[in-house]
Amino acid sequence: MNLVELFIEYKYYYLIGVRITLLLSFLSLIIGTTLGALLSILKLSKGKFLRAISNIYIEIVRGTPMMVQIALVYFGSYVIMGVNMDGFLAALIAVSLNSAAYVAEIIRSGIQSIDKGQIEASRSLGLSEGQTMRYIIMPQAIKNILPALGNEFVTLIKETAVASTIGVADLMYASKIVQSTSFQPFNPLIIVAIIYFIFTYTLSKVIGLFERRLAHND
Amino acid sequence: MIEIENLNKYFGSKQVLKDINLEIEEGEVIGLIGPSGSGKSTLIRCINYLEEPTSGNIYFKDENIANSGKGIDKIRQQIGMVFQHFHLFPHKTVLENITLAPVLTEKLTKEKAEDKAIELLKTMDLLDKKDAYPGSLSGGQKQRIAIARSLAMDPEVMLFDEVTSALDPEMVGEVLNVMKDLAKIGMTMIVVTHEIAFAKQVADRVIFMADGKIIEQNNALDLFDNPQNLRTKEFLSKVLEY
Repeated sequence: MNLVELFIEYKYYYLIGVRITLLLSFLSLIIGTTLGALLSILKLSKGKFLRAISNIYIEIVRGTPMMVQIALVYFGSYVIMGVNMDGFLAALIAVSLNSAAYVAEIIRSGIQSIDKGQIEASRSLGLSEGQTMRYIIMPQAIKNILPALGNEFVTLIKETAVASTIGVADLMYASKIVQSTSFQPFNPLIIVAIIYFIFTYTLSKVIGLFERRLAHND
Repeated sequence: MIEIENLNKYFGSKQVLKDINLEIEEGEVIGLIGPSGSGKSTLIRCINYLEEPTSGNIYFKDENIANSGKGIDKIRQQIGMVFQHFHLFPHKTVLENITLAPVLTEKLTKEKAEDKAIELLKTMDLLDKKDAYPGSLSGGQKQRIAIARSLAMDPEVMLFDEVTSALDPEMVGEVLNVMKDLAKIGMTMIVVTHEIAFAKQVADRVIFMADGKIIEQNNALDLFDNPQNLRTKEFLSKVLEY
């Protein structure tokens, strides 16, 4: 059986996998970015305690493997809270929390890369802290943030493959099922690799389009 | 108009301003000179609270700046500041740079702010640059736009922090001329500068600072031609040598 035949034969599994992977990626992208933005605000805040909290969180998340984190959420929810958590939900929580840490760092460094003189000029004109952030800092920072954020989104799509380790029926999981039912070890993997690549390549093209439009505004 | 009482400022354990007392009248043009690291810039940055004084009081029109809290924005709207490195907003056009603050602080409507900006650009001879972005301008043009941006808020006093130090020599004149015109129409100005000739010509009073202290102050002619303090003499002989 060649690749195309294999795909048609087992398309049912692959389509479920596509749906789950896309849903997982999309939802964790939204949740992760939102949480990441909040975390970056904490990290840039004046309160020492708030900064410490976000620092500890970011360091721990970035310093442990995603596969461990996903297992911790999945099994931890049962051991600690006695809840039998759905695999998809556990994966969603773990991937979102993981992504939030990276997004927070991306936003923080994007904001801090703006020359302090911009803030001073804005404040010396009598604009408030909020106005300075909104009209002076963010429009400039976004140009640094967006490319890095695009990379993070691409990484996120790929990392969702870890969800298959706790039994979530994503693309990676589909390839495992097809491997064992078709007795082919190699070709099912090629098919998921191609599908993952289509997702990530499309996404980076779309982000590239955004970036160019932003650059055009100058 | 501005009263500074017993102002002290530390950066960490280093004291950069030592018990400064100073009063500035409306319409006065002050030249602030002294060697680098003498605290001149820190002093004027304390006046609009970009630096927080460690102790002492600064009054702007009888209002204590340190106690103003959120009111600091309102005070800053009356105090213009021009920086050595311009700090124009690179993502905004020249016109937007000038109209941004008056519109956001609801001082002027968008139309009125634009009228005012165009008028200011005309006096700066830069009207043709109104839709340009700062990145395409020369240093002298940028600095004149930065002055226009401050003036758009109708400030009662203007602070100039070594505004010609980052400019190519042939552009210094165009910026100094704008400042000279401002002085002529009675603007209250505090000018930190290394341009001794300019200070001599334009300043009503020149203050010499060293090591965080005001060493000597006098009207421009007397301070330059007849300095009393040894430290002032030393400094002037060095800068006037060439």
